[in-house]
Amino acid sequence: MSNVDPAQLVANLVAGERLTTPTVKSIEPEVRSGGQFPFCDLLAHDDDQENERLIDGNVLLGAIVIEWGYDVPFDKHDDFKKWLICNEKEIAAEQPRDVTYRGTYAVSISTEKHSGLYRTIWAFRTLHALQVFDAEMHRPNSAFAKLIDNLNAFRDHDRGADSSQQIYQPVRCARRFA
Amino acid sequence: MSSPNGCYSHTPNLRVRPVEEMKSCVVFRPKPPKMFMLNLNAWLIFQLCDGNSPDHVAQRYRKSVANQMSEREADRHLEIGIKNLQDQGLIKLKQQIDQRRTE
Repeated sequence: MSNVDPAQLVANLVAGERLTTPTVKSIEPEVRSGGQFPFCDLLAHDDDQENERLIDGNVLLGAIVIEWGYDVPFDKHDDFKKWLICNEKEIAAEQPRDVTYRGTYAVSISTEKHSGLYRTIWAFRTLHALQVFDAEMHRPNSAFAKLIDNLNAFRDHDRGADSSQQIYQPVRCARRFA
Repeated sequence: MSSPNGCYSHTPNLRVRPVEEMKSCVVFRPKPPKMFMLNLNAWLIFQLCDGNSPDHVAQRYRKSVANQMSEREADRHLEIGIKNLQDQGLIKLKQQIDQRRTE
C-alpha cells in the first residue's frame, strides 16, 4: 500500500485529466476454477521420439501453447497492422530457443464475448521454455523483449477492455484430474 | 427557527484502495458486503465528503474542477456523484438540528 494521502492523490490526478460524469459501479467478483490438466512436459515422455517428430513437423504446435487475447483500440488497428507487417519476422528472428512465435490473428468470429478481437499465439517446445521466455523478457537490452513490449503497447489497457489468456497442451500427453 | 445542518461522512469500516494507474478507486463496503469501482470524478467527490458540510463540499468541488467545467455543470456532477455514493451506502449526511430562537 502506498502512503500517499488519497485526497492529495486524487487532486493531482484530477488536475491532469478530463473528468467524466461520476460513476460508482459495483464490482461483481468472478471466481474462476483452476486448471483441470496439470502441465505435462511432452518430450520428457517421448520414448520413441514420436512427439518430437510431430512438433518438428508442425503437426503439434508445442508441448505448451499460450494464446493471448486482447483488444486494440479501433483507431490503432491500422498502426498495429503496419507494425506487425514490419516486425513479425523480427520477432521470429529474435525468439529464444524452444519458444516459437506463431503469429498474431484477428478474430473473425468467436462465441466468447469478452476475450478480445486479437490473438497472439506462442508455442513452447518444453516446460523449460516457459522459463526461457521469462528470462529473455528480463534480459537487459533484449531485442526480443523490446519487440514484445512494443507489441503489447498496442493493447487496449482501459479497465473493461476485453482480454483473455488460454494455455493449451496436446491431449496425447494430458492427464485429466476433474 | 430550526434549520437542517450536517456534514457528509464516509460510512464506517469502508476499505478504500486507490488504483492510481487506472485513475480509479476501489471501495469495499462491509455491510452489506460489496465492492465498488469509483471513477476519478466520483472518487474526488468521495474524498471531499469526509467530514465536510454540503456547502463546503460544493465549494471545494467547484474549485477542484473550475478549469474543466462551469459552476452549473460542476453542481450537476456533484449532485449525481453524491446521489450515487449515497445510494450505494458509501457516504451519509449526518443531520444536525440547529435550534435557534427568534425573538
